[in-house]
Amino acid sequence: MKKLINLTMFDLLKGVAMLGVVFGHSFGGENAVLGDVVGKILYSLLMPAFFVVSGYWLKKKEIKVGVKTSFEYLFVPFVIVVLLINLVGLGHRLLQNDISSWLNEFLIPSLLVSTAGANRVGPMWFVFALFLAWCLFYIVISIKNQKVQWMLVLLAAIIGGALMPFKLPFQIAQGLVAFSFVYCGYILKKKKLLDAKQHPLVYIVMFLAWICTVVFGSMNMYAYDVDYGIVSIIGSLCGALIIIKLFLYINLLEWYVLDGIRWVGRYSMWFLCIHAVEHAVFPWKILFRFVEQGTVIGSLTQFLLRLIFIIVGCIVFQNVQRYWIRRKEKSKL
Amino acid sequence: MLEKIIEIANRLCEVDDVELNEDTSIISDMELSSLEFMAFVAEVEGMFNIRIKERELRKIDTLGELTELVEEKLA
Repeated sequence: MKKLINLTMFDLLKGVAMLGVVFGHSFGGENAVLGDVVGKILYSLLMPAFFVVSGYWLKKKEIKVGVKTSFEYLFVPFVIVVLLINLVGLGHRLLQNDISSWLNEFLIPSLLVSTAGANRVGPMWFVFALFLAWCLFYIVISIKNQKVQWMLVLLAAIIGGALMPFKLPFQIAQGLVAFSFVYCGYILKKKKLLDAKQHPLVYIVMFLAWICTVVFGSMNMYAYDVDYGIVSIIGSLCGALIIIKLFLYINLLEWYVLDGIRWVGRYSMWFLCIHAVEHAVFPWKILFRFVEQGTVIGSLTQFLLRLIFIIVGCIVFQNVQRYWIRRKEKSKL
Repeated sequence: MLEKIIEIANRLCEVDDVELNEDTSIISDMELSSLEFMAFVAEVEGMFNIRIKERELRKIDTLGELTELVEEKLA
């Protein structure tokens, strides 16, 4: 019997989100083929949804234990990836005898975890924001009074949204907003809202709220762009909840192509980390000597090459991890 | 085999407040974060030298069901 709530129920959504990030970086930005469209969907819908589903599986722990978990699973990968990006970037800029651009684009933004202006932090902003969100979650969830918890969540969203235009370092504003999404994910599980049936009108209202956020405003935490503060955050949350619910049903389909996307979702952390490295340091300009940048062919070629590189990277990591685990087991015997 | 899986769960996943047995639900009793769950599955795969596919994981809820799946793959 197919179950809506299962261990892999978010993998399809996470896989689509990851593929969307790579797609957006290939077709948006410098290429600007699809312009704002992919970015708006990604940042206002899939990114908040990713924060929400991350919170779904969290539970109350001692603050020290929770922060240690956050450190181990999020902060450490963030540091490793950013260090790698900076080392490769340093090598490249030394060859070009251009240390000042390495300082301005690589080191300083990395140390400040800032995506304002030219930076090579790139997609890793998400990991750091999620790390802050998890730490805040474990602190707030230790408060017994649930009304106080909700007040703090609302305050975090309001302050996070208000602070966004100031482009503070260390993803402070993003962390606060991400925490509010993460907490909502926790509540989804606690109150069993995902498998509860809602009146269709609820979904219509939520969809309209999201559409208004996208059409009339902006919700792009990477670019410190949350036009209407808490209103945009709530609009994005509405969109995120709809897309999460929709994907739960799509996840019931047993198509092989969906298995591939689920695999990407399952290894989304590795996928994102490898993409962050290639996005920051790979000399894509070489590709654009052979295909024209900014065209569909150019962007598609870059997207496919990126996918191949990232997937191969994930498979390599997977095998290295398995080998390491087997070696550890053998050494115990 | 169940004992080995429980040992991995206890080691990786900070589940001291739950007594693990074959009826323990991974979703509702263990309440692992997605990253903890990925580490748990990776450890099980590595320990028994098997690969667990996404559609197989989808059908599992309890540690007992996971143990059965591992036994099927090893058979």
